[in-house]
Amino acid sequence: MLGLAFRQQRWSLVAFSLGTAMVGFVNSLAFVKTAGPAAAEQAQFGREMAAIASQFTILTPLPLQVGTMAGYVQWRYFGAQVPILLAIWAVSAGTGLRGDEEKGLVENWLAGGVSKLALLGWRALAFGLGLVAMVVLVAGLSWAGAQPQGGLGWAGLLADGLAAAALVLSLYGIGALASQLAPTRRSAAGLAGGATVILFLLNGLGRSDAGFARYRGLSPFYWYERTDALLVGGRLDLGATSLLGGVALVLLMLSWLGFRRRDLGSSWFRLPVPAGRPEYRPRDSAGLELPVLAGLYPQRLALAVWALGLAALAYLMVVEAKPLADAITGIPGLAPYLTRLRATLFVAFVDIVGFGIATPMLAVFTITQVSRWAGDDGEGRLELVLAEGVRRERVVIERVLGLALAAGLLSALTGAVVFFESRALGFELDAGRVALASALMVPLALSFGVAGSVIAAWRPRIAVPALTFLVVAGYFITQLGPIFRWPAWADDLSPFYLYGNPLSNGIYWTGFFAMAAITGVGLVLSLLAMRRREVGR
Amino acid sequence: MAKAVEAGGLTKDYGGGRGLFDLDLVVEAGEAFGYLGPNGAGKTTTIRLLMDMIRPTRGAASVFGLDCRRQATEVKQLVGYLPGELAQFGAMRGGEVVAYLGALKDGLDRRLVADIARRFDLDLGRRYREYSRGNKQKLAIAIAFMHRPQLLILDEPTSGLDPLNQQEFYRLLRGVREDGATVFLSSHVLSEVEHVCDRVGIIRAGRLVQTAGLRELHHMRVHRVELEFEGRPPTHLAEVEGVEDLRLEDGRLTCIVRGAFAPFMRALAGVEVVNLVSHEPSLEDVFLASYREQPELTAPA
Repeated sequence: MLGLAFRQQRWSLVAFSLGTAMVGFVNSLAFVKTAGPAAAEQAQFGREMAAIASQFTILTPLPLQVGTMAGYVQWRYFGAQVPILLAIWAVSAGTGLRGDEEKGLVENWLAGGVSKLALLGWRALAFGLGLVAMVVLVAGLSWAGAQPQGGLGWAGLLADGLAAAALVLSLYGIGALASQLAPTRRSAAGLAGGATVILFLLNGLGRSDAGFARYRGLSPFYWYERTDALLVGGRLDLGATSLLGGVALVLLMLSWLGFRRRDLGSSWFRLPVPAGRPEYRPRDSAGLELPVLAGLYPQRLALAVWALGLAALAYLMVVEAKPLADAITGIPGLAPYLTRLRATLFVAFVDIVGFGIATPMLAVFTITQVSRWAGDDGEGRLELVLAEGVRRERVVIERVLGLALAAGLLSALTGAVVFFESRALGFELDAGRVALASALMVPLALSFGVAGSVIAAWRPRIAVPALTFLVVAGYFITQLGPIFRWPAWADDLSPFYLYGNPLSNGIYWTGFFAMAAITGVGLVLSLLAMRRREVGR
Repeated sequence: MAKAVEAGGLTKDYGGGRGLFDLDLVVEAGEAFGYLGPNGAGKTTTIRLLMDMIRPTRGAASVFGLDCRRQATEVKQLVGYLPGELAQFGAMRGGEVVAYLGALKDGLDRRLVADIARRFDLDLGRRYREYSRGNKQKLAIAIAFMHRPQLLILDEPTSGLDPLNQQEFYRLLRGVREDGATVFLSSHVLSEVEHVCDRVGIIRAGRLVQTAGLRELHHMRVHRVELEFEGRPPTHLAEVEGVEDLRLEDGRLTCIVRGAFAPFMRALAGVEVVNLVSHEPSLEDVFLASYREQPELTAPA
C-alpha cells in the first residue's frame, strides 16, 4: 500500500520538491548579484530591504539580518516562497484521495479489503516520507547555491526545512479534512485552498494589525515562522514545530472519522434533499444555449470566487502600496524632495506589486481553464459535442473566446478595484492607464491559454503540467532576469515580461505585438492540432 | 435513395493485428442493423470511424451519401449517437446537459426528451454525478434521440439498464423505426439484437465474418440445456433435430440445442421433467461453435 500511495503522488512529489529546491538554489545564488559582493553593499541592501519589505508584512515576515545571505534566504525563501509553493502542494496532495475516489479507484481498493484508515494512513505516510526527501533536497540545493559566496549552515537549513515540513503536513491535514466535507475533488481543493489563503492572510495581517494579531495563533503559518534557524541567534522552535505536527495528526484523525462515516461519493455532512417531484422536462437555460457562454456557464460559481479573490487581492495590494510610498517619501531629510514623487511611487508600487501579483494569478486561472479543456477530452464531453455536428475548429475558437471573456471580466474587476480604492486613499490614478493595465491582462492570459490549447488539442493528458511549467518558467524569468542581468531577448521569453508595466509606463508595444503573435500562432496551431487528432478514450 | 451507411474497404490498423480490416458494409435506409461481436472485435472502432472520431488507415465510409471524413459535420446533423463509454458532466443537472448538447444543432424536441425521461423515470433535475450508472445511460439515450435523427448509431445502448428499462428502450426504438429512422446498433448480446434488428453483421477479430437475416441468426443460436428428470432416461432426445452432444447420468441430462427450440420442447412431452435450465452461451462461444470443426460450448460467464 505504501508503494501504491507513493505511486499516486509521485509526480507532484517530484515536481514540488524539485521546484522548491531549485528556487532555494537560485535564491542563494542570487544574493550576491542582488546585494552586491562587498559587506558594506550588503549592509546597505539590508537596510533598504528592511525599510521597504516591512511594508509587505502581509505577504512576508519582518525582514531580519537581510544584509546577510542567511538573513536574505531566511526572509525571502523560507519566509515567503517556501510556504506559498508548498501550500499549493499540500492542498493538491491532501485532496488527492478524493480525486482517486472520483476515478473509482477507492471503491476498488476498499473492495479489495483495504480499510479506509489504511488508505488515508498510507497516503499520509507516503506524503510525509516525501516531505523528508523534500527537506533534504531543499537544504542540499540551498547549500549548493550558497557555496560560491561563503555558504549556509547545514543545521539551519535542515531545521528550517523541518519546520516547513511540519507546516506542509498541517496544510495537508486541512486538504484531507476538506476532502471529507466537500463532495468533489474540485470543491475540496477550493475549500482547502480558501482556508489556506485565509490562514495565510490572518498571519500576514496579524504582523502589523493589533486587531488581527490576537488571532495569529490560529494560523499554522505563525507557528512555522517561529523557526528562524538560519539567523544569528535563530533557532528551530521545537514547540511550534511539534504543535504543527500535532495539528496535522488531529486533522488527519478528523479526516478518518469523516471518511469512515460518510458514503463513498458523498460528503460527510449532507444537506437534506428536498422532497420534490422529479423533473422530466429539460429546463430552459440561455446560459447553456449561447455559444461561448455555454462553456462558462457551468463554472459560474468558480468564476465568481475567482472574481472575488482577485478583487480582494487588488484591494490589499493597493492598501499596501500607500504605506510603502509613505515610508520612502517620509525618509527624514529627503521628505521635501520626495514628497512630490509620492503619487509616482504609489503608482509604481501598485503596478509592480499589485498587477505583478494579479498577472500570475490570472495565469493560474488560465491553467484551470486548460484543465477543463483537457478534462473535456478525457471525460468524454468533447466526443459528445463533436457528435452533435460541431466543427472541431469551433471548439477551439469558443474555448479561446471564452477564456478571453472570462479574463476580461476578471481583469476589468481588478482594474476597477485598483482605481476606486486608490481614489479612496487619496491617489487619483490615470483611468486610461488603469484600463490599459487591465486590458493587457487579456492578451497575457491568451498567450498562456493558446499554449495550453495547443497542448490540450495535441496531448490532453500533459496539458496541465506542461502549461504549469511554462507559467512557472515565465514567472521566474521575470524574477531572475534582472538579478542575473540576462539579455533582453531572454526576458522577452516570458509573457509576464511582455505584459510590461502599463500603469507606470504605458503600453510596451514590442510586448503587445509579441503576445498578439503568440496568440495568433497558438490559435492556428490549436486549430490544426484539433483538426488532425483523434478524439476519445 | 442513398444508403444509410456504406463502407468500402474501411480499415483502421492499430498494429499488432488490432483494429478493423477491410470492412465492406451496407445498411439500407430504414433498416435496423445489428452489429454483433465479442469484446475487442472492432465494433466501437467501426462506430468511431463512422463518427469521424478516429481516422481510417484506408478505405472510406459514408452516411446517406455523405463522406464520413470530409463531410463529417453534415453527417452528424443526421445522426443521433450513443457512445459506448459515458461522458461525465460533474455537477451539471441532467436537464442542463440536454440543454447544452441540444442547443448545438437545430431540431431539439423537448417534448420527446420529456417523454423519454418520463418513460425511463429519469429525473432531469438531479445532478449528473448523483445519477446511478443506469440513469446516466438513460440520459445518454435521451441525448441520442432528442433531435429525432435519421440515423441512430448506438454502441451497447442497454448497457447498465435493468430488464424493465431494456424493454422500454426496445419500445422506444420500435417507435422511431415506425417514423422511418435507420438504426445501427452494436452489441455483444445476441438476444438484444434479436429484439430490434432486421439484419445482423457479425464481426470478429476486426473482420466482418458474416451478415445474416434474423432467420439465419435463429439457426445460429445455441443453448446448453441441463435437465433433471425422473423415470426412464429420455434417450430419444438424441434423435431430435438440433440436439447435439447429449449426455445422461443419474437423472440428469445435458445437451446442446442448436437453432429452433420447438422440436426439443415437443420431444419432452411424456418426460417427467423435474427441472430445466437453459443457458445462452456467450457470443464468443457461438462463434467458436459456428466456426470450429468440433464445436465446444462453455458455460456462460
